[in-house]
Amino acid sequence: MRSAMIGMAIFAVGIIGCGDVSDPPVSEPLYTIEVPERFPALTYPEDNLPSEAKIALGRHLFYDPRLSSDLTISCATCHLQKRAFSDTGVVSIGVAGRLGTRNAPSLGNTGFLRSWLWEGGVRSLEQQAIVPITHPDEMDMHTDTVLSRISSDPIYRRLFEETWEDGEISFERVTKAIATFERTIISGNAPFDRWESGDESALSEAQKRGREIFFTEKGECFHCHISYNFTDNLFHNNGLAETSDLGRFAVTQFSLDRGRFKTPTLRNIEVTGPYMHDGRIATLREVVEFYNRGGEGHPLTDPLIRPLGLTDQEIDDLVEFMRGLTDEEFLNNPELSDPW
Amino acid sequence: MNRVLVTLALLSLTLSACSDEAVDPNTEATGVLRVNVLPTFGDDGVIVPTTQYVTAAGETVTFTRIRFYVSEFGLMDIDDNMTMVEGIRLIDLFEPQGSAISGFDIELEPKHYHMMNFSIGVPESENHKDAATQSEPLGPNTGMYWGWDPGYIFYKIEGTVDSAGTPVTFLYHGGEDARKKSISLMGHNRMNVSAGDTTSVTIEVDMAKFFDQNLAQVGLLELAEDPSLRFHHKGPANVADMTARNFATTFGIAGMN
Repeated sequence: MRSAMIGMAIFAVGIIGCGDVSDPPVSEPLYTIEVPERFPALTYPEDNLPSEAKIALGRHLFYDPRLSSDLTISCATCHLQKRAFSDTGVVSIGVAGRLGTRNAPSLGNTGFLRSWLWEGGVRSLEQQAIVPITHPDEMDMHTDTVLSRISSDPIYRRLFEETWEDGEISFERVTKAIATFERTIISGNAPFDRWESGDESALSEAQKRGREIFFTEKGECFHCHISYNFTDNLFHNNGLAETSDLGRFAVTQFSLDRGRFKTPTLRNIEVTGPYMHDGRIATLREVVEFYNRGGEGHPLTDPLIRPLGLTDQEIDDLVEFMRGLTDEEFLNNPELSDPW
Repeated sequence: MNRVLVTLALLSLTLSACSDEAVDPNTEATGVLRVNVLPTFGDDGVIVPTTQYVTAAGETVTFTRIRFYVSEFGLMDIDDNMTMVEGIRLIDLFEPQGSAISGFDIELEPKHYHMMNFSIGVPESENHKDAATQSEPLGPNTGMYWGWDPGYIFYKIEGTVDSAGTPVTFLYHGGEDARKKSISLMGHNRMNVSAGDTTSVTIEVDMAKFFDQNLAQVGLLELAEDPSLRFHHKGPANVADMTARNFATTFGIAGMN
């Protein structure tokens, strides 16, 4: 993996169950996942530090359809590397053709987020991994079946032994390994990044014009799509017409959160369509046109969403700028690809 | 209530019980309190799944699922000493299987107990832990876990309502720390646990009461027809509060022997 560099490194209450408190990893130097320039250091849960072995294990699990009840769906089915680990469909399709309700977001730089899922209710990548594996409309698995399947595979037995001294296979370790691999899904080498580093030729003239619109009140984009990952990690109502999916409101019950969803990263946005939490907008240009109109009239629309008055040329330039956020090295990184 | 039906049900009840000790393991002589949980509907007696019942508001309902967590179980003796029983139990009144049970045994010091306390829901200390680290009846496998905003569904009450000839499904799924409800049931000194013996107590869950209060006033059919009101997680708060409160009123002691 490009980004991986070695640095120097319940008790059960009655019938409740127990956590893996000690969780002893195989003795090896502490591992640091390398991040691009201008990115902050990644942080890890104290009980789930990364290791080369754990990343390899998580990568195998991420690409394994045996984690779904009918053996057809892996994490990678809805998070395609060529699509910056997002899906091509409006909403994702789970086992037996069951339709979800949301558009699968890009996993690029997911380890830098503070919350997960569109409404942001999940506060750790480890807990996020539980959701698709056990959700009836996604992978629809009982965790015992997960363990039974992977325990019978000598490759997994070896990977667990390389990751933890006792080699024990548990669902807690499955989610920890997947989360660890996901933290290595890092994108930070787009033409925009090279331009930021001083390569004037990295962006075209149209992209430079688009950048001016993006980072000024002319486009208003930068208020939410800001910083190294082009997201403020907050929740906004961007003016989409209301549906039964109330977004952040479901978590907070705060009336002003109706229709608020987490700001997605714009890195690799060119390849992550269709767009919005429910995939209702097909193309990137249509997204810009949507914002140029000032949204669809939701009564709780963020004040930043207003008719922008951009010309066709300016819309084209803005789209071109966002194409400059496509990281081809990331999309083709063999260390993030299917290991099977 | 049709006590004959309840009595017959008690006699024929097959326990899928799990046993817990609430005694000093060094104590030699203990007795067993067998707790059975039974769904009833007012004077109609024991609920039979898919059978129709009429609510106080005149709506016809059937039940397909009544499933809930019981925790913080304790028994008070006649000297007002509380004996707490460890563990969280998942009760399923229609389909007890796996870690979902319809009753359980508690091993106790022989005494007269006069009050039973328990909570409907999962204590906050367990409610938001990483579910991958928890064992059944907690964890992500029982259909009682909200992964998208981690925490447990304290109760599921599902069925149909029919006031115009066409049954409409209702599904009330409630949770959130603030909606964990404490229940106290008086046994009036009749929970007499004797060494070497088993004493049975039956808790009835009278679902007529569930619909006999604010929920019925709002209109069950109206609630059922609005999807945003059917699957309430934290809300709409008024519906979630209502179902949690009403469900807590359904519990009572139906019999002991």
